Amino acid sequence: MSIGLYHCLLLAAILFAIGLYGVLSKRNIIAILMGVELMLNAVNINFVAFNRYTPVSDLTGQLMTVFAITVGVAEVAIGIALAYRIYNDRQTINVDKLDNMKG
Amino acid sequence: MSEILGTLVFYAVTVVILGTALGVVLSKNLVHSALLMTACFIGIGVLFIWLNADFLGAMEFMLYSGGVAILVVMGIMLTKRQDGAPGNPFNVRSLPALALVVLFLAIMFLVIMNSVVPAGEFISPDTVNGLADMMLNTYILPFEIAATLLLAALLGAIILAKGDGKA
Amino acid sequence: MFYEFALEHAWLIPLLPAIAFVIIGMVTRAYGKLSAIIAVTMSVISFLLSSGVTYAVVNNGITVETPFVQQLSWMHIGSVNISMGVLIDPLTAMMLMVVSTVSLLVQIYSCGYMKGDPGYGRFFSFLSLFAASMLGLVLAVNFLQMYVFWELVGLCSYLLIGFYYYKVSAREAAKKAFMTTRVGDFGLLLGILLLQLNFGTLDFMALKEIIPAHIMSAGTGMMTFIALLIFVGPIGKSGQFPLHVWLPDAMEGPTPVSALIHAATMVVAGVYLVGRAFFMFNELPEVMNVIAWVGGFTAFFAASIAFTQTAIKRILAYSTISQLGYMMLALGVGSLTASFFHLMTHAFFKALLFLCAGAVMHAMQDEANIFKMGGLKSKMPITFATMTIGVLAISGIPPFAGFFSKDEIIVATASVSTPLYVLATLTAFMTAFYMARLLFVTFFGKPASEESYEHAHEVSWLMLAPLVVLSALAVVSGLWGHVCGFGEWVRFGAAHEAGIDMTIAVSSTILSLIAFAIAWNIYVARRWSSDAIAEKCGILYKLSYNKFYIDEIYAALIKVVVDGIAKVFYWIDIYIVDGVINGLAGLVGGISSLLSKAENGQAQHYAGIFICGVVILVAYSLYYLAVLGGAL
Repeated sequence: MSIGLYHCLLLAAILFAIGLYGVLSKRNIIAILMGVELMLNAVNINFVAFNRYTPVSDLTGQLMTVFAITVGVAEVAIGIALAYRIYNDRQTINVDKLDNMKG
Repeated sequence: MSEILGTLVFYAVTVVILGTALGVVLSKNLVHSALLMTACFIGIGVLFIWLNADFLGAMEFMLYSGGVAILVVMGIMLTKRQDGAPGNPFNVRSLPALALVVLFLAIMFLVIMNSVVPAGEFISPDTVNGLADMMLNTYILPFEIAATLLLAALLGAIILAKGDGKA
Repeated sequence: MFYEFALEHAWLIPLLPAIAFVIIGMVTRAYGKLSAIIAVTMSVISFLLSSGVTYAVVNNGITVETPFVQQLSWMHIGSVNISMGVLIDPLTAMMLMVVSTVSLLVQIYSCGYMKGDPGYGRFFSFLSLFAASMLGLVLAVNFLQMYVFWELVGLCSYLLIGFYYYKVSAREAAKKAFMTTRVGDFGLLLGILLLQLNFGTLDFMALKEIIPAHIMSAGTGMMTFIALLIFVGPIGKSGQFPLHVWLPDAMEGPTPVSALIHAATMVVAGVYLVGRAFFMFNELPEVMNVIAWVGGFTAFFAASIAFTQTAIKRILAYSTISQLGYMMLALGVGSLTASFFHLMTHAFFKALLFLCAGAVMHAMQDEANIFKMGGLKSKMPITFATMTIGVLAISGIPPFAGFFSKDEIIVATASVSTPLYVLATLTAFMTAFYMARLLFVTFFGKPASEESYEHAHEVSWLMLAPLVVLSALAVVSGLWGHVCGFGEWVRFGAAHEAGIDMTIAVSSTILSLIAFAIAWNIYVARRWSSDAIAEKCGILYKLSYNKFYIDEIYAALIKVVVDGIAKVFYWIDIYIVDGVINGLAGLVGGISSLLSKAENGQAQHYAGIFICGVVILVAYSLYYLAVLGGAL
């Protein structure tokens, strides 16, 4: 069986799930950021795969990936800055300790 | 490139991506996680090239396995504790999270298997020119907005990291 | 012609003082002199228009049967159509003259009296509002319009009694006046609502046609009830027993206010209301009886209290209550003319007496006790002269105004009921006595305090001029009314014969003179000791001095009733209302504390819940599309 859209989608779904697991279960804020990056890349794979395996006529999917990468990179920069800031303020980047929103 | 070779390459890349991704999440050492994440991004870049998106593949290499990886490593260095290697522990909810993720995956599997997508394919002969053309014509506004976003993120990151002037 | 203009624009009469109120209240309040000028100017114009209207009434042959009515629709509520407007007949014209004259004179007097008061501008804005409301009340075309202005004059009364709001007694008096009259107003409102329910209209002219016919066909039962309810309003407003308690306390206000509102104009609103609705009361003999007896009793009762009071304004206040009782008595015995004649003369001489009292108090550094004055006649000759005229007028000495009007009332009473006649004559005698006492103690004899006597001086011309004008009116208004046929003009039904019954006139005059003589002997010649007399009367003196303990009885009643009700409500509040509320609060608190367990502040936890939601939504859409017949 030749490789098609479904393979790519499954790959992306699994990657997304792995990233999601990281986001939900990690304590370190940087590890969580890495999980988020994995999820973003899973979405990018979907974009590219749809652009490749569906009857379209231009590169819109890839272009969206370009924008998604841009946003992702910006997010990482801000995320790391936030982590650094939290570390400076509280000497920890363990999100278990960050429960200011507690109701 | 023959079909079998293509299939083999795809599976190999899949194994690399998923294996390194699992490593990112499961590794006990945060530095190892970061390295594995870089490997994962390289795999994804290869996958992009395999999907005939060579420009995106190049971007993936440069931005993710280059820029993002360096940022993350720097973040790890800046926030590490004085003693020992930077840890990467799980929290108390890791088992419920695993269950939830498995459930999510099952649902997604069902969705993908039940989806009907029109067959067809599109291979651009020249992705760089195609993307440049669209980016500077049809999508000029999102392009500019993305530029502004990057600028804002740059400033924001500087201000956040700089602190309130005391440190 | 000016009088035609005045008649067509009668609505300007209340509007102008209202404008003055708005201007002073909103703009010029801080500038006392300017405010006074605005108020007096508007009053002058109002007075001129009132004169024009009165002239037009005489000249155009407007009578009680053929009034001049202008009205426009104010509001529609369902089928209820309520209008506002002006109704001008001789009654109205007379009231307009009385109100605008006294109000103008009192405003001029106030320019001098209130000099230096920090609330100068405020005072004139309230006076203007009062003048506007009272003139509007007089011009009302229906019960509702009258009720609106009725409440407005009550409000002004409240504001002006409490004018010195920094004094606790003034605040208390203002509250007392407002709440006591509220009792009456409530009855009046119920009566008005019942009228609207029964007849579908509140218009005086329409009701004038409907009510006699209704009584002919349906009997007097319902109407008696309504009329009694409406009469509760005048009982409150005109200080009739048992709601008279607020009027003596109302003397806490500035003296011009007492003269204008609590002697000459507002308190006669009750008399005016009964007179305006006389077409209804006249058909109901039981109600007329009630009115006559309430009036007669009030007249006698208040006079007996006035006997022993020592504060100059309180004596005058009880005298006002007594005279209002006279007017009610006259209405009750069916003589609208006598009542309104007395209303007019009383307005002039009682305003005069109050303004004189104000001048005396002004000269004596606000001393109110007459026994701390004395010997003022040489110091304040003009005030003394005008006060004497006032006293003679109220005591019914010919040819002063009170003689004619009081005589008419006594004549009318004598023809209806002998006991009431005796009561009225006795009251006249008592009136003469206590007024003579007031005059003699204040102006004759030796000064009680040398120091304040030295300070005493005649007041400024701004205050004297109104006194002189009013004393002139107190002299001539009775004779003029008698000669020029007041009875043909202000009347109900057939024209009233202005005859003097010689027996009654002579006997009441002699009684008044005897009262004067007794007072002279006690307070000036000091042949008889007042203390000894008080000693002899014992319990009676005590009762009178303490105003028959009415205030104390009310306080005790209110304590029992209000405290009892309050206790019941307190129990309900604590155990039922609070119980329910606390139970509900506890329920909500319990549920929310359960829910808040989910809100532990951990962003990851929230993200997990969010993903759960996503999973559930996606699963449901899958189910919806695949199983319930949709397609993916």
